[in-house]
Amino acid sequence: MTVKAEGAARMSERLSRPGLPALHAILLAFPVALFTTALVTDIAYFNTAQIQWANFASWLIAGGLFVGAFAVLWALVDVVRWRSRGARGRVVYLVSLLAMWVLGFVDALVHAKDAWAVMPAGLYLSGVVTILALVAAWVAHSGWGAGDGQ
Amino acid sequence: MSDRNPRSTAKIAGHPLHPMIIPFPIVFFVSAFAVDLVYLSQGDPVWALAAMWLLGAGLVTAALAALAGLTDFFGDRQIRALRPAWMHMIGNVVAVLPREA
Repeated sequence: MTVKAEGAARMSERLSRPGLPALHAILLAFPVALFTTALVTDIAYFNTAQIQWANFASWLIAGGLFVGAFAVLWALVDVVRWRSRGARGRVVYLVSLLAMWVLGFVDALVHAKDAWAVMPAGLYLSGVVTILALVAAWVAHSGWGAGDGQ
Repeated sequence: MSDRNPRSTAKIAGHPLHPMIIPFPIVFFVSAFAVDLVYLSQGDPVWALAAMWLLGAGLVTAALAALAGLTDFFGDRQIRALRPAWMHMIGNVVAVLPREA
């Protein structure tokens, strides 16, 4: 077997495993946990009007966007490269992840406003972004490619 | 070995809880470290406060993950028969307990 054929065989073995590669799963964990926590701190700010909660929320959103961007890029490459296996799941994942990132970016801009001007739009946006992150994670961990493709 | 897969005990609608919870402590602990590095280089005490909250959130969610994980571990003999399951449990207890103390 040539080196190239061996590499291809290993790649197809890797792809035949359902679900995400470990590193991708770790990257995805960041937007899931940080956007969810941003929603929690937004709720805390909404109830207490303590400005520190709004600061925490904007940092958490920034962290989710930063690491989430790498997950979006990875998902994009996956959709372009692996058309056959688990194609539909990968596209649904990319779309939900991209929607999460774009709305998360808008959420970050809203959180850049002064104090109570964040509310209530920031709270609603954080809620939607959290739901999108959870949807993306649900799709990604549902084991696409396990049954279809070949 | 029996011919069935290991089964989760702590689950909701058939989905194991443990893997749903673990992203949270992982992300909180990694973020606490990142925030500590920012504190180290900038010195603004608000980063120390942020790290404290992240550690607290990490410890609470790690305890929840441990609860679900231990339930699975003791709920299925086949999971206990897996060597990696022991390594995983011992490793995480060693990693998290010093922070709880």
